[in-house]
Amino acid sequence: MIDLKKATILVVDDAESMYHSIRSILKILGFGKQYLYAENGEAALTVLKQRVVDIALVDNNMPVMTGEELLAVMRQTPEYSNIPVIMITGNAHQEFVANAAESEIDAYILKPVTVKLLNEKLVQVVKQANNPCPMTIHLRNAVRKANTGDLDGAIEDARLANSANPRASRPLRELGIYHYQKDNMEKAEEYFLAAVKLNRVDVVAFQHLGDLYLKRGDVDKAMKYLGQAMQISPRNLDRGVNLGKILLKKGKTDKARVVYNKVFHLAKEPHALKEKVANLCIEYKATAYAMKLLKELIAGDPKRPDLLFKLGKLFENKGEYAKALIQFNEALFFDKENVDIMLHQARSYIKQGMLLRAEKPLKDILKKNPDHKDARKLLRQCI
Amino acid sequence: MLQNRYPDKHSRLVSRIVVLLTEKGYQNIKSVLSDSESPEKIVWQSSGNGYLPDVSVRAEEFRFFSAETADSIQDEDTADKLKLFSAYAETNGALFYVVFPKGDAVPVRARIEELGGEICLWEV
Repeated sequence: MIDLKKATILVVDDAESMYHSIRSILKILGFGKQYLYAENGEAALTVLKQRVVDIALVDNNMPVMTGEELLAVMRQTPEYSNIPVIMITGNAHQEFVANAAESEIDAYILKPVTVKLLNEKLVQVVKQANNPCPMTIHLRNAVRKANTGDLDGAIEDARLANSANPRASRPLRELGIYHYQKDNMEKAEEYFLAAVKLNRVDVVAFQHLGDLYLKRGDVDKAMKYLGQAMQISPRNLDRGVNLGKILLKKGKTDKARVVYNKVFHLAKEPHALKEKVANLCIEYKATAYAMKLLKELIAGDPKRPDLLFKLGKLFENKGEYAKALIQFNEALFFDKENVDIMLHQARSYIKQGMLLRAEKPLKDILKKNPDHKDARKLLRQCI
Repeated sequence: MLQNRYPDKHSRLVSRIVVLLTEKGYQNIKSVLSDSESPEKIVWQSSGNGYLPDVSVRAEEFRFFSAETADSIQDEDTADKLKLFSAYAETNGALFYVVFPKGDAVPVRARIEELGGEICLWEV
């Protein structure tokens, strides 16, 4: 039982001034006996290891480890999984709500934090924690049993949770997860589909459906559901990247392109993702798409010798040496001492029959490293 | 010996090779030009038939050159000659070059790619 007046309250916020103002409000309300402070999610985990915390007030947007990331860890750690968490956010977007549902947040407060809001939410959260509804009790039991490997017991408790509140998607989703863990894919599919039918932002159920169809080899359905998960919450973009990777591995480049285009469209900062995908495309020989992405990346950042070098090598592999040379020459402009680029530049010159031009980079390489076998071999071909 | 059907362009190309090799410091340059010692003929061992390289030079290793243009590279006889030269270079650790003028790069490279073998390209 949590006694609000005697509670130990942890405030997690990168702005210490915010901690001080929340503490002032709590004191005005007469809530809390002890106040603890952590500047980000990682620091909060350290505090949780050392102290018993009754309630946590967590800012979502923090460096190092965000509030959502902290919540996800807390809910997976039996010692902290039942601590009530109030998330403080400036974001009322669907994405946040979906992520909050995923992490099973207890309540959230949209900034600015006021005395009235904090009072309402704390009272509500403590009431819920002290008098959990039957669905919550059954779900807690289910999670506890699942953690000890008793999946049949977990399924039974999740069924009871579903009976207690048939309009909530979480019991259905949990039933799907336990059946999935038991490798009972038909039942798992049935429950996940029921969960997403009830709750169109149950991002966890969408993700599991995507994974389930992928496991079955039904790529189109996997794309559909993972696509929806990405749409709800860009946190799932990594799943999209991984789905694309699987498609690339299978040689289904066109489908991978569809997935990646969606990922880039949804990403707030697609640059880093594009680079990651370009590297995957190079690895899995999806050359045309890799080249397209590299060209886009270079257009946005023309002074990156590594990108120019990669694009050059792709042209070189295609036997388009003149185009390769444009990239190598540009790359060397920004990275004059790079031996690898020089070697590829020389090789392309030789392939073009421009033997006199190939000499200089090769001699430069040998000046730096007289034992460079490839450079010596290529230099032999020069006049 | 393969008769050259494009004497003017060919002779200019051979002269250019000789000049460039001289500038690079090579000695013992042999060429099919009238004022030069002729390179040694390279022959198929099986038949004894063969062709003269346009230029040859002996430095650390034996290098020999065939001057080709967009027109000459398409000739049937040229294909046979290049196959012989390539095979000879491979067997004897020599370096064989097809030398072409700048404007003829595309057809020459394409033909050499078709023929395959140990052939270095040199655009002059």
